[in-house]
Order: sequence, then C-alpha cells, then structure tokens
Amino acid sequence: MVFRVIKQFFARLFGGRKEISLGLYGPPNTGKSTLANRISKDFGGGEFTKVSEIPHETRMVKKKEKLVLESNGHRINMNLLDMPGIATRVDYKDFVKYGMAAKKAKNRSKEATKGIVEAIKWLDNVDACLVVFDSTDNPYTQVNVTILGNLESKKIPILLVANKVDLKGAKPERVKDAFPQYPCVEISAKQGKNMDALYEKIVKELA
Amino acid sequence: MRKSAKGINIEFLSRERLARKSFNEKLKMIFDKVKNRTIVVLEEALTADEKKLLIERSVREAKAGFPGIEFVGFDARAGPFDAITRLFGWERREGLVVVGSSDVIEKVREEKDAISLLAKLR
Repeated sequence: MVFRVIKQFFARLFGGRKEISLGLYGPPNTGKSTLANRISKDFGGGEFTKVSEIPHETRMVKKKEKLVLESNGHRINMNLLDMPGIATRVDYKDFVKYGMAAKKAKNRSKEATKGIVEAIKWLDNVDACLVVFDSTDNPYTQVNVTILGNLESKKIPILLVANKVDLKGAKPERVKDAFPQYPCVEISAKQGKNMDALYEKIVKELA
Repeated sequence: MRKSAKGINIEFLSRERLARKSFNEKLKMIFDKVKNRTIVVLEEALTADEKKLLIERSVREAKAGFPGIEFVGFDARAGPFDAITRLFGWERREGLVVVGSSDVIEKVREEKDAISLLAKLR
C-alpha cells in the first residue's frame, strides 16, 4: 500500500504513468476473455486468451504485454491481464452438465479454484481495472461488491464495463444503478459495439 | 438447535457474540457450520478484505461434497464520521451477512436493501 502511494506520487510528479497493468475482473462468463481479445486485436496484439461458454475457461492469469492503446490523441502503454472469473463456489458437476467427463471436470474444478485464488492475489498488483458485468445478470452480488470494495480500498482506478448489450434481456442500466459511484461503459465485446467509447474512457479515467 | 431430518438449520449470531471472536475464529466457525448444512446469519457486516478472505477460503475448501458457499448481506451505509472513525482504526460493523453452502442455498437475489434466498431441503 505504501509502495503504491509512493509509486503513484512519483508517477504524477513526472507526468503520468509510462505503463499500466490493466486487470479485467468479474465473475465467470461475463465476457472478460472476449473483451481482452477484442482490445488486443484492436491495438495490433492479436488474440491471446481462449474463450468458451463453459464457465472457468480462464483458470490462470493471461497476460498481453506492451499494448499501446490510443484514443483521442492520447496513448497508454499497458499490460493487459485477463483474470480468472471470481466465484464463491466451484462445483465439478457444473462442468459435467456441459458434457465433460467426471475426471476432466474434477481437474478443471481444481484448476478453477487455483485461478480464483490467483486472481484474488492479483487484486493488490494491478494499476487499474475494468470490472466486467454480464448485462443480462443481476449486477449487485457479493462477489462484485467484494471486488470493487477491495480495489477501492487500495485506491485503484475502476471502470465498470456493462458487457453483452447485444443479448436479449440485457439491462446495462442496472450496472449503473447498482454502482453509481463508478464510471460505466455499455459495450458488446463480441460484436465490437461501442468500443471507441470504452477506449476513450480508459484513457480518461484510468491513465 | 435440533437438527430436523428434512429441514435447514438457521443460526443467528448476535453482534455481541461475534465481537468476542477474531476474524479467523469467525471463519472457522462459519465453515464448520455451513459444511453441516447450517445457514449462518451474522449480525454484522464484513469488510471488503474479510469478504475477500471468505471467498478465498470457500474456493480453497471446495471439493466433492462441498462446492463452496453463497453469501449475501447488507453493508453499513457511509456515514458523516467515517473518515474520523477510520483514522482511529474503528470499523463500522452495522449490517448483516448470510452464509450457507451453495448446495443448500439454491438461489439468491440481492439488492442494496433487500435479500431473498431459496434454500433447498435435503
């Protein structure tokens, strides 16, 4: 914490951060990996993380280094971190429902557990965060409250991303209503909808 | 509380009782109870850091037969003297936390000022 404050002080003193670690946080299946790939592709990095409809596809932190994000004449050098989805439960039976064999499902479950613990540890090491929501789900959950509370207590800049606005039943306004204290952008990472607005906000709010 | 054959135990723990315990003792107590299919209601809020540790412990303990927990709660609303209380290292604990095993709590619906949950009978 003390180190972070000193780092932020010197970063401001010398004209802003040269490079930031941008973490993508949220529960499983909110579209973090789709968004990470979209950002990476839009700025010449290519896809770097696997996407799946089965929960907990990302079971370890995936990193895309040295991306240069540009918007409105401003640029940020960043390392993009696709985090495993944070959940309070991991049940191998959930994976079996997707047709996975029990042994494979149990392994996936173990890896998912490690991934969640790793993502929690990284909460202390990111410089800024996109907290990603599925706009068809209720945003006010203890997992989201916990992620936001921990980032806020460390004074890490936060931008909420109401994703999946292309889906029927999406209500991105619920994200804003649940957490009105944070800036929020509505997007569809899958369709690339409103990404320019997201990049503008990243530069404005997080850099 | 007597355990019923086809029921759910719900235990309410008062703020006074919780005040006598360290957070690690509370965590141990919570997990001992929820693994025994009890839903625990704490008459206090948890800090962001404590919630993080609760989630971490839940997934660390998850295995066949115990998939982890569900928890819901109300936090203390921000007050005018929060900065002063933090300065003195005091924590505001007004609030409520409900914790149960996720194979007992089937569905939760949470808002800032309302909670509903559906518990599953055996």
